[in-house]
Amino acid sequence: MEQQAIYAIIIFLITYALIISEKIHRTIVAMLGAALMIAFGIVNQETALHHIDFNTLGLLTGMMIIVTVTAQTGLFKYIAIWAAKKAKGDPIRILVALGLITAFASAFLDNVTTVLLMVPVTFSITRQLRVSPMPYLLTQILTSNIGGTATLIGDPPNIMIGSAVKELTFAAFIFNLAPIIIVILAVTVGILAFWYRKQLKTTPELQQELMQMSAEDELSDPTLLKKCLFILALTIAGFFAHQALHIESATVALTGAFLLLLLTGEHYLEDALTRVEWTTIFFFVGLFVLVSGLVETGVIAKLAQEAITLTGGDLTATAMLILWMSAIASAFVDNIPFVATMIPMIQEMGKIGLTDLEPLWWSLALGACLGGNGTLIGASANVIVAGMAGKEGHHISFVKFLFIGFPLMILSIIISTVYVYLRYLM
Amino acid sequence: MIRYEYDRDGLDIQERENDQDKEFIIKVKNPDKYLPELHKVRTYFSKDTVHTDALFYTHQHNEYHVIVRADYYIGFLLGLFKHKILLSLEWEE
Repeated sequence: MEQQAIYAIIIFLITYALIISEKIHRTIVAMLGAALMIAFGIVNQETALHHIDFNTLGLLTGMMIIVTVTAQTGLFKYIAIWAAKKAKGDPIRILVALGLITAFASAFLDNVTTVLLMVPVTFSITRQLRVSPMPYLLTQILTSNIGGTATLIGDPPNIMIGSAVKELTFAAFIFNLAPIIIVILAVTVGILAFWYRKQLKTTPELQQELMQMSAEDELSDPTLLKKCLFILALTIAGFFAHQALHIESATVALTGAFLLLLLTGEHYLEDALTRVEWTTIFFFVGLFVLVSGLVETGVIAKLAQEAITLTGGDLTATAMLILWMSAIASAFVDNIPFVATMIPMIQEMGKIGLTDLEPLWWSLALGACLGGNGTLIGASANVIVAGMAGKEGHHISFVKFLFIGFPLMILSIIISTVYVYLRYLM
Repeated sequence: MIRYEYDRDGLDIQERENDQDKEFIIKVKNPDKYLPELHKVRTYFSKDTVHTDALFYTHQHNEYHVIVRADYYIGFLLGLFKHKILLSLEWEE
């Protein structure tokens, strides 16, 4: 192996280890790792820039702006309270309803934003009913990761896959992933509702009090809400049509974001841009450059060759390997760097023999997104909810989450295995 | 103990204890004067970093149910006082 390839592997592994250790912020580590790749001459700056997927970055930024403005309308609180009233204040039905709302919202917004909006209203409803918020929070963590798997924009791994593979459009993601996600969601929420059925009890008086709540009062700015809903609908329609229109998904998201800012006025601009998660955006930049070092030195091609040798070039075995390896890896390490490494590897597999890559892409998406449910550190949404819960005196321990999350994650991967096999490999 | 006074023509405030929480039922009789101020108190508590310090629930006919964590009881009363929903606050022996 060439000297440059060895340097690239060393830089990549040290960076990866530091990201996993969480001793230093992952964005700082990724950016410094990327800088080392350039400083050591493994890739030059121009090549590094070519490897940065600006479609992924633009899509994330655009959606973050739209969500930031929409969050200010009180829409999420309204929907949650409306659903709680429709559930007649029954704690188990509310658990199911909030879980489903979280999943649906996560499919079209990013998971972290969804849980950031859902958790406060969950505290509010559970406090009113005098039930523990813990089952609701755990359910929302799991359903946010499940729901995010259903669409191209729901979870960063899907954004990255959709951006790297032009044939995998927004509609293709929904067509291929949404059916199985609905099944996994129903099974997961059903199990959780059954599991918590005895723990979640309230009184008829408290249920009655909840029924008196006014959801409409939560809508703080109806005019802004109308604008946000209009732009959201337009943006989602744009995602469905982006291939036919010959424009990238980032163009759709950024156009939607800045059209919204045009409608709302300049005073939202500063705040919206400030609230974009720049740490996440730069984390992606660093990772793209890091992985470019492995691609340019032929390490990824070599790994792909090894994987093909391991599975004997058999499509079914390769798809299953990717599905399960992605799920287990994503349960313990950040799925974003994992997917950033896997994408060029799968593309390389296409060059060296495998003709039908589609089952591999869906296996990667399902494994990487659903794997996040395995542990408390498996996905950003998990960490965010645990942090918010801890601050309010409800500690979600690693072991407690593992006890619930890991078996349900394994179950979801078993269901996915059957689905991938029956739909793409039989 | 703390004692407070308010405009009884414009408001009706009932307070009760519930486990470790304090609960308030605030009925606004003079919406023009007190509703905007009550909304400011609500916005303050919903935008701060603690999610469960004071939880507001809107009922029909300008009636609000507020669940306040015991450790934020004084802070909540001070919030009402700051916005002139309470007219006086006094420590009572």
